[in-house]
Amino acid sequence: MKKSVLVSVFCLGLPSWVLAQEPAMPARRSTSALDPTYDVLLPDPEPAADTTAKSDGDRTPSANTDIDIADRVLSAAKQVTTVQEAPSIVTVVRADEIQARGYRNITQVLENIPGWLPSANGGNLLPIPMVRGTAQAALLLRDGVSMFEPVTNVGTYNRSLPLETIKSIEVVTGPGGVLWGANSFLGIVNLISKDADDINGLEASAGYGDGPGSPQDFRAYVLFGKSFRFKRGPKLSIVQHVSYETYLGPRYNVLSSISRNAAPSPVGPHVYSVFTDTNPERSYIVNVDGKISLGPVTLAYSMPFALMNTSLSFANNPTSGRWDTATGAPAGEPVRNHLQSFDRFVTLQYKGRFLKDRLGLDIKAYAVEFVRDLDAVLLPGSSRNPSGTTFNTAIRSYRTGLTIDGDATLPLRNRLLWGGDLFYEWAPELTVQFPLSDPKDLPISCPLERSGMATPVFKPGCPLPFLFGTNRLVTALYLSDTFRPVSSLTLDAGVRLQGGFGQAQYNFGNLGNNGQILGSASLVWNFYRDMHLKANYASGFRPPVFNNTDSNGAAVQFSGSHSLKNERSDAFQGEWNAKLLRNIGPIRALQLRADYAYTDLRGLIVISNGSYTNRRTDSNGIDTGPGSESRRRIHSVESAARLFIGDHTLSANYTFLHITTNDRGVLRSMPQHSFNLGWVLSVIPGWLEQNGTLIVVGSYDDPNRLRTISLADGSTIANFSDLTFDRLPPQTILNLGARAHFFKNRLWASLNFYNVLNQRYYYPDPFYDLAPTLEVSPTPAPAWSTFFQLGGKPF
Amino acid sequence: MRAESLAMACALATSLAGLSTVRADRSFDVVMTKVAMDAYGLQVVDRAQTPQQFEFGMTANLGWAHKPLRLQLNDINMGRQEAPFTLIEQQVTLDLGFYLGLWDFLSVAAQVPVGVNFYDANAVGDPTVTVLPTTPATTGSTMSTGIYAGQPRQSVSLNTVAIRDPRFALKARFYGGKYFEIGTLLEVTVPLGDKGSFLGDKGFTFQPKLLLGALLSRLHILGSFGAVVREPSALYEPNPTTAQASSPPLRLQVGHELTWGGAITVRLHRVIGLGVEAVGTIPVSGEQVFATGTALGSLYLLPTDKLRFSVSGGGGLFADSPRNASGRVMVGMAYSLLPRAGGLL
Repeated sequence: MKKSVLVSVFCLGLPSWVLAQEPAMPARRSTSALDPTYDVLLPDPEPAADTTAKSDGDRTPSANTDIDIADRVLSAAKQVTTVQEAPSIVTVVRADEIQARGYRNITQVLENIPGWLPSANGGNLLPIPMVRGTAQAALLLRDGVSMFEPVTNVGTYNRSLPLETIKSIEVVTGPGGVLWGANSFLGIVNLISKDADDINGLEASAGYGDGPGSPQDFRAYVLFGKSFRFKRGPKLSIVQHVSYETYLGPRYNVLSSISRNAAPSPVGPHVYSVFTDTNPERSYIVNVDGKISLGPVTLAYSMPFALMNTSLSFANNPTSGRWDTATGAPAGEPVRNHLQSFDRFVTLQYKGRFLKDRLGLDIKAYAVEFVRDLDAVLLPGSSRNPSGTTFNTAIRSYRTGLTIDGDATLPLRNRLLWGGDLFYEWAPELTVQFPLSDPKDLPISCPLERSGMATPVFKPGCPLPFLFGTNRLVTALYLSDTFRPVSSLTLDAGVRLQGGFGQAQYNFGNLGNNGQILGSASLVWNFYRDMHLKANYASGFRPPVFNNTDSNGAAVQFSGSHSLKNERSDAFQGEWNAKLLRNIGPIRALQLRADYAYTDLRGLIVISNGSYTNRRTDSNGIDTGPGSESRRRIHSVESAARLFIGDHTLSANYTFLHITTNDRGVLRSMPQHSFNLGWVLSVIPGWLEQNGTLIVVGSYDDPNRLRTISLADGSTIANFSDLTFDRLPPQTILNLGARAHFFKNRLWASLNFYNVLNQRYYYPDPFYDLAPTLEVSPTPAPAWSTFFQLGGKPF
Repeated sequence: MRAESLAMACALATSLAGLSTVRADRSFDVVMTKVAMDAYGLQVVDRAQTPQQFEFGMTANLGWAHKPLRLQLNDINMGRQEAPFTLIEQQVTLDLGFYLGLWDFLSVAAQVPVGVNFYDANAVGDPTVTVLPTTPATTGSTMSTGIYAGQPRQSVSLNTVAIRDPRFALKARFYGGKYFEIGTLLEVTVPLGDKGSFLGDKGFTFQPKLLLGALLSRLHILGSFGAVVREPSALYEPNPTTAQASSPPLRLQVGHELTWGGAITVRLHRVIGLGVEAVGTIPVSGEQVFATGTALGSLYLLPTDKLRFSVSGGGGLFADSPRNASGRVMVGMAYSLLPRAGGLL
C-alpha cells in the first residue's frame, strides 16, 4: 500500500506520479586560472564547429583544441567553465557525438552517462530516467528555461525532443538548487539548442526503421539556420526546424489482466488472462520550433503536436484491445493508449554586458504549456470484460514567468552571480472519464444524471474530478560568489531563498512557512597540470506537485494533501579528474574522472493509508508517526574515461550505487553495478565511421506478485500474499552503427541497430513496493530495432 | 536439550538452504574457447609477443557453438529416468577487446565478452506452468519445471543474452628473440557475468599462463600452460526422484583447472596465413568434473599490417564432456594502431 516517494497512485490502479528534483552548484569559468574573465550565460565564444565540409583529416591541426572546446559547459555554473573546473559533476554530450553515436532520443543519451539509468512507469506510458537510482529527480531545461511539469513531474524524456536541433546536452549529476531552484533535486539536464551560426544553411534528413523495438518508424526533418548582417543595426539570426515522425509502439507479448484491485482500493487478488500481443494505434509527432535573434534579443518557440501511443499500460497490461468472444481472442483493432508528454513554449531572452564587461545581464520571459493528456488502458478486453476498461483525462498545466541572471566582477578576485525567479504556474480542474464502461460496473461512485430516481441513472462515462484546479506563485533570489585566492584554487559559495505561495503553497519550509533556503559550497583545486580535485556540498528541494496537493481522493487517485512538506536533498561530493597522455604516440588525450557522492534525501513523499505523507511508513504501509521523515541515503561512485586515439574515440563509464531507505532497508531494485563502453572508429578516415555502445547493467531484484492459483478457464491468480523477489538478470544491450559521409559531409547516410543481441530485459523498479499494487510484474524494455537515415546539407 | 534442538534446527535449515543454492548453481561459463587477449595472439591461443609501448589495439570476435552444454538429467516426462539433455542448443558469443602497450615488454588488456544462449525449452523448463483444476469447482495451481524446479519461485525466465565475466590481463614478455619467445599472461575475471545463465563464474577467477613460442621464419609454434583458480560451482539434479530427494545427484562440477593451449601457424603469403589451434582444461578438484578440449583450424587474412581477420572452425575433442561443443565457428578481427614490424601474425 505504501509507495515510494516518486509515485502517487490513482485509484483503480492508475498511478499518478509525484515527483520533484533539485539543485546544482556554483561554478566559474576558466580559460585560464590566471584570467578569471567570465561570460554569463553566453554560449561558447566559438560556435560549435560546422561539420559540413570538414573531413576527418581536418581534425589534426586542432585536435586538442577540439577536445578542449568539447569540455566547455554552461549549466553547471550559469557561466561558461569547463567540465574539469566546474564545481559540480558535469557531463557534456555534443551534437557531433549525438550524431556519431547514433542516438535517436534523449534517453539513449542519458543511459550512457555515469549515474543515470533508464526506467519506465505505467508499463511504458512514460520513460523516466533515474539519477542515482531515483526517478523523477532531474530538472529538464531547454536553453536554461525550466520544463518541469507541475502536475505529475513527468518530463519529456521521449521522442518529442528533436535531437538534431540540440547543440549540446549538459548533464549535472547531483543537486543544483542554488542556481536552478526547485526540482533540480538530484540532477539537471540542460538542452542547449543550436544557433543559426551552428547550422549555417539548410539541412534535411529522412529515415526509416523497423524491428519489434520500434516498428515502422519513419522520420524526416528540415533544419534551417542563417545569420544576416546588415550595414547598420544588429545581426539578425534565424533558426527554423520542422520534423515529422510516425511510428508504432514497441511490440510485446505479455500477460493481460482480467481484474485487479488497484490502489487506492484495498489490495486484493490480481487475476490474469492469457499472454497477448500489443497492438497500439499508430503515433505521430510534429515538431515546429525555431528562434529569431536580433542583436541581444532572442525569441524562441516550440509548438509540437503529437499522438504518442505506447504498447503497455498500467500494471504492464497490453494494448490488446477488445476481446472477440466469437474467436476467443483479441479482435485486432489498434488501441489508443498514451500519456502524451510534450511541451509548448515561447521564450524571450535579452543578454547584454555592461561596464566594460564587468556586469552581465540575462533576462528571460517565458510561457509554457505542458501537455500530459492521458488516455490509457486500465484493463484490456477479456472474456469476462470484452470491451475492456479505459479512462482519459487531459492533463494540462501552464507556467509563465521571468528569470533574471546577472554577474559582476568584484575586487579581490571575486565574481558574483546573482539572480532570481518569479513565475506563476497553474492547472485548471481536470476531469476523468471512462468511455468504455458502464458506470454501474465501475468500483467507484459515479455522478448521477438526476437525483431522486428509484433506479440510479449515472452520467455517461462517469465524469469525475481528477484534479482540483490549483496554482502556485514562486519567487526566488540567489547569490553565488566565486573567489580565487590563488590561480589554482577556486572557492564557490552560494545561497538561494525561494518561496511558494498560492493554493499549493510551500508548507513547513525552513524559512518561514512558505520559504525554502538552500546553500552550496565548493572547492576546486588544480593540483597538478591537468588534474583537478573537487569537493562540494550541494542541496536542493522538490515541492509537492499538484497531483500530491490537489488530487481528488474520491475518484481515481490518492487524496491530495496541502500539508505536505518539500522534499529535500543534500549531497557531499568529491571528484578527481585528469587529462593524461596528451599527444603521446597515436594517443591524443585520455580523460579520466572518478567521483564519490553521499546523497541524503529527506521527507520523501510516500503513500500511506490512502494519502500522501512525508513520513516513513512500516512494511504494512502504516505511518510510524511524527518526527520520522521518510529518508533515503545514497552512496554512489561514478567514473568515466574517454580516450582519443588517432581518429578514434573510445569511452567507458562505470557506476556503483548503494541505496538504503529508513523504511525498507536496502533498495534492492536498483543495480549496484553498471558500466558501458562506447566507441566511434574511423574505418575510412573522412568517409566511414563505425560506432557502437555496449551497456551492461548488473542484476537487481524486483518485488512482484506471483501467480499461484489457476482456474478452469485457464486464468491465473496472484493473491496479495503471493509475492516474490524476481531476480532480474544482468542486461547487455549492444548497439551498432555505421555512418558514411560523401561530398565533404554534404551528404551522409547512417544505419544503426539497437539492441542487436535482442536482449529481453526489464527496467529497474523505482517504486520498490514490497506489497506490489502498481508495478506487479517486471516492466519489459524494447527488443531490437534498426534505423536507416539519409541526410544532406545542400546549402 | 533445548539448545541441541535449536542447533539441529539451525543445521537442518542451513543444509536445506545450501541444498537449494547448489541445486540452482549455474555459475560457470560454458565458453571453452576464450579468445586471445590482444592482436598478437591467435584466435584462442595467446602469444608471448607484447605490443610495443603505447601501441593501442582492438579485437572483436564473433563465435557460434553447437550444443555447448549437455547434461545427464532426470526426465520428468519419463518417470524421472536419467536421460541426456542439451541445455544449450546453440550459443553465439561476442568478445570485444582492447589493449595498450605500457612498455615494450609489458601490456594491459581487457575483454568484454557477451553470450547469447538458445536453450532447449524441454530441458530448461518454465518458471510458471499452469496446472488446471481437476474439476470446475476446485482451483488448480502453478508450478515451475526443468531447472527452475526446487528454486525460489520467479516470474522471469533464464536470460538469453548476457555479459560474461569481463577479463583483465597483464602480459609480460620475458624474452623475445629471433627464434624463441617466452612470456606470461596474468588474467583476472570479474564476476559480472550472468551466473544464472551459464555465462559467469561464481566469483573472481585468477588465470595465469606461461606463454612459449618457437619462431621459424614463416612457421610459428606456440604453446601455453596455465591454471584457473576459482570458487567451485556444482549443479545438482533439479528434479530428483523420491529416492534421490535427500541427496540429489551431482550433475556437473566446475572447480580449479589446469589449462593448456597449442598452435601452429604458417604465413603462406603476405596477406594469408593458416593455423591449427587447440585449447583445453584439466580439472584438478571436484567430483563430477570433466576435461575439455577444442581444436580449431584457422585462416588468417592480413590486408594491412594493422589489420587481421580470421575465420576458424572446429569442435570439441571430448565427447563425454558436458562442456564440449560439437561444432564451433569463430570470426575475428584484430586491429592495431601502431603494430610491430611484421604485423599481427
